[in-house]
Amino acid sequence: MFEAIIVGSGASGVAAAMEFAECGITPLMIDVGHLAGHTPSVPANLYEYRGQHDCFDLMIGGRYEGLSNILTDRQVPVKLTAPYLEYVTRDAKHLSPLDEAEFKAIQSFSLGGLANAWGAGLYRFTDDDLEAFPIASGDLDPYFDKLTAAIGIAGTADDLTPFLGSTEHLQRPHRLSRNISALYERYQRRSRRLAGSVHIGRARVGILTEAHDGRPAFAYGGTEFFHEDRSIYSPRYTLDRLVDDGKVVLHRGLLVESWTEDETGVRIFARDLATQASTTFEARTLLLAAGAINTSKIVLQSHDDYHTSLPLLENPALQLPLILPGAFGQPLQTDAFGLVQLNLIWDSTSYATRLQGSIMEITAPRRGEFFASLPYAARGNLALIRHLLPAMIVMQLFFPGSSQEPGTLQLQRNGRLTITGHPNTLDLKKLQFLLRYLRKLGAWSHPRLIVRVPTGHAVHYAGSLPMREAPARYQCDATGRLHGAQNVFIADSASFSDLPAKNMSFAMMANAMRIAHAVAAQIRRT
Amino acid sequence: MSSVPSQPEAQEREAVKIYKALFGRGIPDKLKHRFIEASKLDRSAHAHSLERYYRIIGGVRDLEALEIAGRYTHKLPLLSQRFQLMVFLAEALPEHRSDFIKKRGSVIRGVGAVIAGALRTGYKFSKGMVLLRTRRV
Repeated sequence: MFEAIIVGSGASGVAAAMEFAECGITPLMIDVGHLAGHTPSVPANLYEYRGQHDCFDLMIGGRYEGLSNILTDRQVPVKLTAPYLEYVTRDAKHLSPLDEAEFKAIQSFSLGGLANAWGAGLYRFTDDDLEAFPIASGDLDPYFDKLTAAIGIAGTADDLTPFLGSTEHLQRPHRLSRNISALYERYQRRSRRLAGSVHIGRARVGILTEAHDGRPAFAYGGTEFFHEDRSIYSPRYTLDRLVDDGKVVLHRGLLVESWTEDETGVRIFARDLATQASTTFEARTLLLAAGAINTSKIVLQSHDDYHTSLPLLENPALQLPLILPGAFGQPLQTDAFGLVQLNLIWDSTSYATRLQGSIMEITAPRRGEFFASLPYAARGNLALIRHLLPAMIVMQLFFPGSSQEPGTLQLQRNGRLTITGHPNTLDLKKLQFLLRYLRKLGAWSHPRLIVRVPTGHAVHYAGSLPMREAPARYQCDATGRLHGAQNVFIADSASFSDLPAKNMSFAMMANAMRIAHAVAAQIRRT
Repeated sequence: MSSVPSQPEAQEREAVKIYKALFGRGIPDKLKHRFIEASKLDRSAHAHSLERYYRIIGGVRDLEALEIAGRYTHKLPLLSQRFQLMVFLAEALPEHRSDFIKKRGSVIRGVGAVIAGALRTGYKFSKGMVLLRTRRV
């Protein structure tokens, strides 16, 4: 019998395993665990390389998998169209079939989970963010500190420090691109004269600016969308090391379906995907970290519950293209950092809430991604790609999960999950203040250009089994223990009490460590 | 991915015409082959609507005009999709680098391209609307 079983090898599962390892417990980790297939060789700079070589393998893929958004009904966010990332969402539709209404869920059964394709934005939750949680930032801070030192996070002290928390252990921030540097310089010059409800500062990203732990610093080669770059942290790197060091026992190729519990511990039922045979594992404790949707499914299956609708939170989001007229006519900067460079916090009176924006260059995606959304006839659109895109950046603006009615998640007798969401109907008129503010910084946009991100495509799912002071059925207590269970803990974002307008990955990891620490203490006591 | 019935000639003509509409020159063989291969994987195209689609584009010379009018009137979405497919495939080839990325910046050329693009779009859209009506799309 294992002392602990962790279901799921994504960011939460690996963080929990890290903490178990530190507490001297060797858990069994179970996951489907798809691995990356062939990864094409990587040029030093993709834009230079493209002038001399056929990039079909790198950008399209031998089975045209990079065109899935236009050739199939498998609609995924742009980064997931990269051929080498096909494994991240492989088989998801078969392993976790969904009936979706107004919700487009992205699921992963790969080793390392959706973090294999993340933008690595890692932000501490502060007390403001944790208002609805039965825990405070002090409960998470020690784990944020440990993770920051282990991962290598770029960032710095600036106007966002009050919102993003401690700057201890941070690596120096990333080099700003020409366009974003111009915007930030204007902000720094004028912020005192501008409204105090908007704050801009450097992003905190798990992407190295200095070599760390055997991983190289980021090389600014424009390749970040098209190959595995070890400067961008993936929980898989930590997992590989834990497995190599014998601190985690990893069992791949298994889909966990349910559990039962008695006074001796937990029995976990899984399906071996190679043989389709059922297999059973026993442990004293079970940590579910399979992602909010699949963790909830395992819980409902374990209760044979085909009636209850669980809530499902997601961050509604808008995508704002920002045109910088001052940069018009310049050539494309081919060595720009293609992920989040700046963050913006807006205490919005029009939306009556705090919003967070992620400002980034659009150099990383293929140019063709923009073709269909430009307004001209075909050849005119190609001209806009050449002349306008180099003067364009984008801001993804996240709203709190409470900005729209939560979705619901219900198990059917045939094993499918029904997810019902609500269309993204964010009121663009309320953006007027922010658009005026950005214009003063030299960045122009218009409500007609703004895209409402389809519900589900922000890929921040949470709150289906929320932590509460006094938990009821399908809720958990402050240690993550599921109501009614003795030894089953929810260690991923399903246990979030709320979803602030902030990338949740870092808080998810720190919370998983906190829960693992409490579970380890419980194991030691008994 | 499932395939649709093969219509080799129609597909080849389609590839040639779309490429010409986009880049104003003859399509490289490698790209033509890839475009046809990718088109066969298109799940959204059903045999029935595909036949009609090939009939329509087969009788029109100016596909750029037909596409812009179809895009704004939500008619012929398959044509817009095939234009995008060609753009993605072309972008991966080294000879197309300058179609997507300019090496040197020039405000005058940029402004010129934006104005010329707007005028061209107006003309192509008007022409495309006529084509949609005369071809009964």
